[in-house]
Amino acid sequence: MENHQIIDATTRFSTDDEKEVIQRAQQGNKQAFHQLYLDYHKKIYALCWRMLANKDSAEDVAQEVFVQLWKNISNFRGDSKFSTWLHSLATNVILGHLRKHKNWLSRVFSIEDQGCDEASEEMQDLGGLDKHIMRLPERARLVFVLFAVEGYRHEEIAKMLNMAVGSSKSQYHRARQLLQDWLQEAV
Amino acid sequence: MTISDQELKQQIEAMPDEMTPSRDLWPGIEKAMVYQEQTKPTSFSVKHNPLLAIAASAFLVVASWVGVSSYQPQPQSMSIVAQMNHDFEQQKQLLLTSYGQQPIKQLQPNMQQELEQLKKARQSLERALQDDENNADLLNLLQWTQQQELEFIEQLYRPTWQSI
Repeated sequence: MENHQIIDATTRFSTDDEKEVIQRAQQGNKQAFHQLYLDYHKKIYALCWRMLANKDSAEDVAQEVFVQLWKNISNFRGDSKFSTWLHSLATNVILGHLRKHKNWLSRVFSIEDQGCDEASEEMQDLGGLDKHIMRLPERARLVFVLFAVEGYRHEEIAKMLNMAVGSSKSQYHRARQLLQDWLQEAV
Repeated sequence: MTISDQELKQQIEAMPDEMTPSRDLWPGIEKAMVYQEQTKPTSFSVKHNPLLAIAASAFLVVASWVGVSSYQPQPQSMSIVAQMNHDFEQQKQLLLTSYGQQPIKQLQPNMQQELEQLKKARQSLERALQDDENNADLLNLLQWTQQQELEFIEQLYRPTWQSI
């Protein structure tokens, strides 16, 4: 019981501590902003890489997320957890990047990439499931990461990706099926 | 036979929520922050300066009058496609000039290829429109392709956070 109370107090302290750092960053304090970067850049980079399946783009977009965070941090009102708000900002930046850089042929003819058969060299360092997530076709990968990893609902994903709720669900099932097959092959 | 939903769920839960980038991302972010500050509009805003608002309105009236009086109508015989191409070339030239006319060959091969694809698509549409110059779908597609080419040029030449 005592132990539990200690953990609770630590968590509360760390939240208050972060609140203060956020407030200082909102006032334009670069040192505080750097602290937020140190606390969150690895999480944001992981999200970027999983959604973009490209290491270089993930690094560039992760930078863009923090540039946007600096620009928009005053919009954070504390209604939700900062990490939730930041992930939502990051998701918007990533999807904006994808929309901007999507090959024009795919846009005109609605061609979807078929994913890749084997993980590329840059993905060799990734853990088992991540390696397979990178192989998924783009839409299935985005839906899977947003639903299974980030915890968004299909209704929210459908809105973000401009697709029907049913499509989001079917892309998720497709992703799950492919991942299960590939993981089985790897056993 | 595939692995079960439960096993997949366990693997998802075991995934690391952090990954380390191969390079330090902070210097680029910091440069972008400084760049943003330098380009931020000053607090001398129209909202708080009624005199400035009047001056801005007067400038707009004069500017629009000068614009109207110096407007050169295009020859009536110019087709819609020719007009679109004329406007597109002007915008493209303006864009390239503003970014210092960097040679396309200096770009990465995949970017050169993408730009080349857009150019070819635009040229094919122009050829198709020669036989059917009022085809609305083709005109829309041409306009869209031109816009993509302009946006792509802008993306290619715009200074990135890493280089500023």
